[in-house]
Order: sequence, then structure tokens, then C-alpha cells
Amino acid sequence: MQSIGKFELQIFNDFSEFKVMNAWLQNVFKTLALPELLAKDLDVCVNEAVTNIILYAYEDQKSHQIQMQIEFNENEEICLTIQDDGSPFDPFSAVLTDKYEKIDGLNIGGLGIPLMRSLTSQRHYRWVNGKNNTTLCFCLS
Amino acid sequence: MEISSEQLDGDIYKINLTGRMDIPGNAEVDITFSGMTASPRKFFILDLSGVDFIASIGIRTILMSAKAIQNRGGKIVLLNPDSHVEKILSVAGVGTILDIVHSLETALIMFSSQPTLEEND
Repeated sequence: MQSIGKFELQIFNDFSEFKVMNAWLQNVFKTLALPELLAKDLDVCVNEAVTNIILYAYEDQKSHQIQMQIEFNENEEICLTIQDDGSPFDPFSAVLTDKYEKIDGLNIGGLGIPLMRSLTSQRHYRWVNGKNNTTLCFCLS
Repeated sequence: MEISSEQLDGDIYKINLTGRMDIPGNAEVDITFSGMTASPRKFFILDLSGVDFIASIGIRTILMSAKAIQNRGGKIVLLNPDSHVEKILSVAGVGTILDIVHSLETALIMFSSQPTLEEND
């Protein structure tokens, strides 16, 4: 495992940017030689978080920037922070409602936040200078 | 993503998905997948062995079709997801409502007690 600082990416709130984002993620995973399963957990959570931002964070149709940063912390975790200027939303205190269509009691929609909660070792949310800051951490051990 | 299909004995339709089942990948196969799982077919094996990544959008696509299939008395079995895809399906609770198996033989056994399409009509 190498420890070589942090990695940053900025994309627009458009699903066409997923190609750029996914290429960046694969490059980060390769550079850090992350274990495959951990890298895939992180990959899923990035996808879910950014999907939610694009779908729900903005009330206008304008182009917005989403910033992402991946770095290690002192607790031997790799942490992803996503920053967006959408409506304030704390995904980790949000109450998951029954608004989604269900199949045998399982929500068909609304799976993203439970996935993020389950796959991460720590989660933080802050509202700073008019922006959502969502941090997802993954334990390396 | 890529999608293909094959007709097996017993009116079982096998659908093979390959690639990354995220927002862009799902968009590439969503309509075709929905068409393949549409009526009048009832019995499906969804081969996930070629799927190396799945996000909630992919799970939603599978569950929406599964719901439609179950509502007309059919059944869908998920075949051979890789370890991480199976983990995500498990975390999402999919394993509690759909069968997930790891061999075609086992998948076919899951249909052995099902009435055939002709018997149902």
C-alpha cells in the first residue's frame, strides 16, 4: 500500500461525467494498489452519492460543479469527500421513508443511502460555506 | 454493457448480462432487458457472471422486472454473481426475495416444481 497524498476531481452534475469519474477512480485504485473488494465498495459509494446529488440536489437546470477528494487519514482509513452546492442534505441523518415502491417489503428505490451506510466504516456530513460536504471512510484493515 | 439471451428447455429464458451495471451501463441495456423479461415469458435465469460492478440503479432494474414477472406467476433466478456483486445484492436485501445460485444445474432445479408456460395458459 502506498501513501502518496490525495487525489482530486471536479465534475459537472451530468451523468455523462460518469465516464470521467469512473476513469479517475480506476486510476486512483491502481495508483494506491487498493484491495479489489475495498476499491469496489468505494466505487459503489461514489456512484450512489454522485447519483443522488445529480438527481436530487439541484432545483434549477443549471450546470453545477461537484468536487471529490480521496485521501488517507490517521486512522488507516481511506476517505472520500464529496462537495456540492445543492440543497442542504445530510444523507446519514435522513430518515428512510416508505415512499419507494416495494417488492415483498424491499424498497426498489432508495437503496443508495443504505448501501453507503453499510459499506463505510465512518460517515460524516457538514454544511460549510453553502456547500454539502459528505465524507465516506473505508477501513483498510 | 452487453446483453444476450438464449432459450432453454422448459420454457426457461436465460439472459446474460456483461459489464458494469452503473448509471451509464444500465442505460445501455435497460430497455432491452425490460423487453426480454416482458410477457408472455415467465421463467428466467439471469446470468450475472459477466457483471463486474453493480450499483443501486442495476438492482432497481432487476427488481422492477422481477416484480412484473412475479406478478404474472413467473420466477427469476439470479445466477453466479461475482463475490462483490453478491455482497451488494445481499446488503440491499435482494437475497431475501430472489434466489441466488452458483451453477446452471442448481438454477434449473429451482424451476423443477414450476408449472410450464403451456400448463399455465
